[in-house]
Amino acid sequence: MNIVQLDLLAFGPFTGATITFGAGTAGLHIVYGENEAGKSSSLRALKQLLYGIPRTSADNFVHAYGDLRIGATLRRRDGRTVQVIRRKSQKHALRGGDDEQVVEAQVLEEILGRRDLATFERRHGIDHDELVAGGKAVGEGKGDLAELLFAAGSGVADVNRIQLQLNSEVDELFTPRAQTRRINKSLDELKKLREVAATSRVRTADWTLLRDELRADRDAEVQVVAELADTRGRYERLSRLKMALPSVVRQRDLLAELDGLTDAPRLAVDAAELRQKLVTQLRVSEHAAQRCAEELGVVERQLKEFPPASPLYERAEHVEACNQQLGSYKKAAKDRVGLDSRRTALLDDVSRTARDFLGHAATIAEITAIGQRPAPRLGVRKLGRSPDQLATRRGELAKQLADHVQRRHDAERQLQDIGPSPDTTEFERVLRRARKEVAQQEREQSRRADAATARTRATSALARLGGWTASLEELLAAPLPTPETVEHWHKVLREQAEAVERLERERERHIAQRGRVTIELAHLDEGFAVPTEAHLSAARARRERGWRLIRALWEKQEAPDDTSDSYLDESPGATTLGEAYTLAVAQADQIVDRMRHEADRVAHKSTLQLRRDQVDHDVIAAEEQLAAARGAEQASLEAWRAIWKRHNVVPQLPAEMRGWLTRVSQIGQEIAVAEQAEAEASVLAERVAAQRRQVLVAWKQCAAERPLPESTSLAELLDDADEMLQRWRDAAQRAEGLRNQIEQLASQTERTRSELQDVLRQQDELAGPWREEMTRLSLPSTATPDEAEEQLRGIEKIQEGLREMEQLDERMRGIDREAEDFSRVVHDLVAQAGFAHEGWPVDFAPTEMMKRLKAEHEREARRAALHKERARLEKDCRSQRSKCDEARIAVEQLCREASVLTVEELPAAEHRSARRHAVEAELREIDKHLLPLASGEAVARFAEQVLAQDQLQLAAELSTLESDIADKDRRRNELAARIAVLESRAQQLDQSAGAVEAEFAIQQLVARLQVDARDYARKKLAAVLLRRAMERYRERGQGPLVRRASELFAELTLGSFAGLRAEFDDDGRPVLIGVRPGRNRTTPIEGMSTGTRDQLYLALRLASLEEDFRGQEPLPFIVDDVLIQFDDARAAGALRVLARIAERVQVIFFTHHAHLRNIARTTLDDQAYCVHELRRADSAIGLSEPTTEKENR
Amino acid sequence: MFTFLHAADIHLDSPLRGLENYEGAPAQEIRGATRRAFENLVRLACERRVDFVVIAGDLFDGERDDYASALFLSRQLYRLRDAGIRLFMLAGNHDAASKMTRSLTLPDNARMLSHLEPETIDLPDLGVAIHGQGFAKSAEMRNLVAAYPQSIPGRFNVGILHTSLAGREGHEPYAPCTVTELVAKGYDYWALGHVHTREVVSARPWIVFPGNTQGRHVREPGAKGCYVVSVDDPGTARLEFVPLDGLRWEVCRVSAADCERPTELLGAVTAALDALVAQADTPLWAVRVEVTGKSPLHAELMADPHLWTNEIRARAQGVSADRLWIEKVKLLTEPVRPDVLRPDEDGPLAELLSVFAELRASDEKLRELGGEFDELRARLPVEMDERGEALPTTADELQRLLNEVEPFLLARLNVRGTPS
Repeated sequence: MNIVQLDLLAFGPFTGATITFGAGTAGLHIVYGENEAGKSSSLRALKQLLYGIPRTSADNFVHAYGDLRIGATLRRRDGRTVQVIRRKSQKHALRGGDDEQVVEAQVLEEILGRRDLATFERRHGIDHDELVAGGKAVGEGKGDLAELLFAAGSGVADVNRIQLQLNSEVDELFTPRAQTRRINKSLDELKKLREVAATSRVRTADWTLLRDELRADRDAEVQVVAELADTRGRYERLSRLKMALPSVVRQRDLLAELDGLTDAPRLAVDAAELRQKLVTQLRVSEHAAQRCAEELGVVERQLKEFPPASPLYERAEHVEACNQQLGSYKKAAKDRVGLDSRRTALLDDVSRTARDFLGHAATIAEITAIGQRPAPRLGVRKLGRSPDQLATRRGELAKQLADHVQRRHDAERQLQDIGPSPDTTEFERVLRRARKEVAQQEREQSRRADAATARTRATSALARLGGWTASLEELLAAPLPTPETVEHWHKVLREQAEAVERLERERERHIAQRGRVTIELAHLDEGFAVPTEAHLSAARARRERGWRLIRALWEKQEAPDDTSDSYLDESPGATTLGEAYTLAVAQADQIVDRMRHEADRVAHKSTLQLRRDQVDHDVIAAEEQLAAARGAEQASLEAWRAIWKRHNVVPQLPAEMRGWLTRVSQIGQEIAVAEQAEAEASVLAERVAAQRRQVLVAWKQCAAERPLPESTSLAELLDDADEMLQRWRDAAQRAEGLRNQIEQLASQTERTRSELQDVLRQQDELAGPWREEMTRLSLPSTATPDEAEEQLRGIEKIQEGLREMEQLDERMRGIDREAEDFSRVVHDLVAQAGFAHEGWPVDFAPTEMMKRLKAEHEREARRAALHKERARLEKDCRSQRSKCDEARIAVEQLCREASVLTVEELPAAEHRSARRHAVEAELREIDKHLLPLASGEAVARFAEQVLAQDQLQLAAELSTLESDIADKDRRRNELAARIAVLESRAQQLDQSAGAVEAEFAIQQLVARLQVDARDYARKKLAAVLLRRAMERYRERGQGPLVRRASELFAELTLGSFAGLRAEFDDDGRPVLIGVRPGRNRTTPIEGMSTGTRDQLYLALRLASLEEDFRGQEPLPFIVDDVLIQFDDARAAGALRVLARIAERVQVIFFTHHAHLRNIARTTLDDQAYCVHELRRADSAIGLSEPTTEKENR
Repeated sequence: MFTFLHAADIHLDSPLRGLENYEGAPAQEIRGATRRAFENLVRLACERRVDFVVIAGDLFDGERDDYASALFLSRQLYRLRDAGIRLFMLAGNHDAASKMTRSLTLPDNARMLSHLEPETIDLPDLGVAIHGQGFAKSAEMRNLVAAYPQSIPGRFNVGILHTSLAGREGHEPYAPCTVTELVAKGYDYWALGHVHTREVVSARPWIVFPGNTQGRHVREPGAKGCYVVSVDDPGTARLEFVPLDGLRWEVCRVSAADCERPTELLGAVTAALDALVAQADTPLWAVRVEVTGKSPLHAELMADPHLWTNEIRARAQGVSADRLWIEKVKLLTEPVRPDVLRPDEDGPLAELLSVFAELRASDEKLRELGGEFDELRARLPVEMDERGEALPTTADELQRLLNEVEPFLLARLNVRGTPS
């Protein structure tokens, strides 16, 4: 299938664009586009046209999904064309050329065969990535032939890497003798876990033993504890008795003392202390009350002596406010003086300016009049500066104008000197074309050398040929038998020879068989010959004959005749006919008996005889066939020789003559090569000469006045032409520069002239307004701008001075008003305070009143303090009197409690009471001490038991019990420790889940092993089967593929390699190696450069592709920029190879490298390729449609 | 009116199988799952204040002599005793093989029925008679029911038996008997054990397999637990199934048929797992994910099954990091158009496919190929690969492996092929 036209209707950056590949059978189509020109988009469009637009596509940035359209016209191998448009859609995505009618997907599927997109990309396309990966894999595989063929054949460039990866993954999983591989590690771990599980198990027997021990120890512990409790009880009781003894004795003494204190009063414990305190308090309070009364009298006297408050004190607030305002009043008075002097100075200044302006001392009225003058309407300053500037500018412009005119004149003269440039377009085109032919001159010489070499080879081959005596020409002209004829006779003779041989073998076999049957028969007859049917028939016939003779004699009564004699002769030992007949009967019977007894042997012999007859017949038949076959063979040989006789050649057998004919054919090929080379050389020479002529004609047309160069070869002629061309170009460039300069100067002159006129006009326009302004300034119209400026400044200064004076006046008036108000307030206040008679000035009165007011304040403060002191003293008097009363009552209460009448009797009563308290307290303490020792018994009874105890016996008993308790304690501790250990062990076992966890871990590990082992199996098998497939493909396709790849490789490397060869490496592995030209030098893959490896991969890939053409409908071969790393020469070689492939299948070569396009132009015949250029649009919005450039057509 | 609880097949400390540990798997949470289930059983009995508990055999898990299991059981039985709950149980085939069963000292609330002859326990306070006989040996092939006594009139008769009836798939045919024989005894409730799948065989009378209390591998999926049986005064029983399992096994099937991108598939897996986890309030899940369907992703999935297993496990952690264990990921997809496309007509890939085709046609060649795994097979534990799931030996198993290898290899080669 060929793509006739690809319509990028709405796809990626394209809108309504078309690439026309044309309806030719095939061809190399170079689709060239710079970056961003849409090369990748068009490649994508091509694939998506055939295989559908994917559900998510990035090519919708201009056209929405629903609008995407790719159209194409496809031409099938049988010449039918199909026009389709692809939409992006789930259903009915394929439409006819009208974009409406649904086209069944089957139509495309038929064309594509069973090749899906991946297959299409892999087998019918190659891109730079694949080439690089392929080249890399070639290096990594070290020439492994199976891998190389598989990779190139399938388009899976990195099959070597995939195989290595698989092997490495398998090894990472498991290696029999490794430790660290994943599965090996798991197996080790599993072993360890099993050991853990076994050791962590709690065995039933262990547990039962432990449980029994624990039970026994616990029983023993219970018993010891009971005994210990009993002993401790007894020990404790005796200890209590011992401890209570001192207390019981003391108790007895105290009770005796208490009997003597029964009448003592029960006073409070602190009664003495209380009494002391009360008496002291009474005395102190009485003294304090008296002192308070005295102080109160003094204060009241002082208060009575104080005068009433003054009117000034009552107006204290107003006085203070007034005093605060006094500061402002004084400052304003001071400021006013400053303002006044400033006004005077201003007045002087203005008067001076006015005098300068008027020319005499001015009055106030005159000054005011100047101040009220209106300001000039037009800007005097602006007008005043212009005349100067305009005059200067006019001078400058006049100078520039003169300069421009002079420079233009100079340039025009130089241009005239250079003269006109010839039109070299046609000359250059001729040169470009001629340059392509320069290489042809070298090629011509090379072809001539090729021709000579070929002829030499042919001559020497003829010399080695043998069997031919005539000339080379006669040999080539002779109508020698064709290879088919030779093949026919080879086949005939070989078949006949084989037939003869086969028949000979057949005959030998029959003869051998006959021998074997004969020997077997002989063996059978050894001793007694085995009777046969023939023997029996003979014996019976003999018996019959005897009987007939006897019967005839008996019936006819005749004497025996000759017949009888002969019968007798045949019966040795018989003398009479009767004897002979009896003998014959006996013989026949004997034979019958034997045949019956030896039935097996008889049957066997009979079979053997039949076989011998058959074999005899076979031998004769074989001999006859053999003779016939030999005859036929001889006849054929004669006929074979007769065929060659007419060329005076005595032929060998056809197989040898086949080689002979091949050599003759090689000679013929050599001659053909030579002739072709010579023809090509002649054509090339003619082309070169024609080009030279064209160059000279073009030269003459360009520069008829100049002499033609004398160079003879095309290359020299082109060099001369280049030099000439360069000179013309320089001159043209100079002339162009001068023309630009003249043009520029003309426009500058024009601009300068126009500006000069502007300046003159402005000068005229200025005169009128200036006069008006001067009048306004009281100046003559002839006044200079500086004079006007000065006049103007004077007016402005006077106006400014007058404005400021006005402001000063206003401020001074304000100050005067405020001073007046303040004086009035002060005056009123002085009168109200009663100081009117003092006659104080305004700025003194507030200060003086403040001074007096301060004294008033101090007096009032003293009066308030005295009031406060009087209140406090009154309160103290009341308090002291109340305390005296309280103390007195308390003392009386004490006396009553102690049953005494006076205070003085109290100490004695207090002493007796205290002793009684002490005795009772000690007794209580003793009781408290004895109560726990009595341990529930009545204390009195316990005390009696204590007093009754023998102290010595008690001590001895206690000592015995102590040692008993220590023994039992030790025993109990031992048991407790044992139990603790056993319990801890039991608890440990009870909580143990070690084995359970280990089992769980084992299961996890087994699960992992299961997964890993499956993974191992999968990968191992994948690796094994991939290798198997590679080897099988190699065995099947090695011969033709390597041969073709070898030729392509030689071509792609431009003869740097003569080809490729399959060999075995040191490990017996078939590998591919490169063969260098001459002397059979070889280079292993490892010795090749990266680029050469790429070319090797490309050669294999293209060889495989050619294999592909044989089968189904061919699809275009898509090449995506694979030559970018080839040097120019090798890229040219590759393009030549692609162009040749394109003779059989459409090749679409995408590139964005302009140099590749140029190489195609210089390398390939015009008819061999076609360039389609994609152009990037200038605008950022979209891209222009691709253009198809039918170069040189 | 009374309530009892019927459970069976506790298989204490039986390890969970098939769970490959991986980074982030909730391994800590999952340990001791059978113990957790039994604790749940005891807790349930206490909370519901049941009158007694029946366990129809297989308390333990066979011959493994680890008394730790017995100790654990003992502790739990004491909890029942403290709650005043009686326990009746008998030995199943696994218990008969266990040394622990013989040396186990039971608290006074628990009773192991005789394995010598059928034993009847009368509970007059509840009006219940319990009949049962345990296994004397692990392979008990006698029909034990024949010797069971007829029902006692006026009592609610409960028969306990460890059996697979007339046979249940995947279970040894121990103590065989028929439903008719059971019905003929006139009991009200047959508490059966041995079959791990829950099944109410009959409702009149009740003949019930409660299943095991904790699933132990992916072939025991779904909720596992026991029945709470409430009997009212006329003697009518009502059954309520209560899950006890701390870990639930499920198979989660996800179709990749509509997935064009891996993220879509992973999204579908996440959604399916989300839905599964949301279904029930189970503490932990062990899930096998099976990806099925004719899918555009087939080749991509086959190229690196490990990668997809890990991707899906990572997604599962997103769904519930500490509750979800992905037991295994099985990629069972098929190509979308297997019959139409061939990689090449006569080229290397066709050769590769023909290598596969030849192997498929010849069992002998296949078995020869099986020799490639001999070195590894010799090192693997014998019990590991009984089903040939890892390293195949039989022709059938090798065919299955071949069906995996072909798409795997083609995917590695980045080729869409024609797996048969």
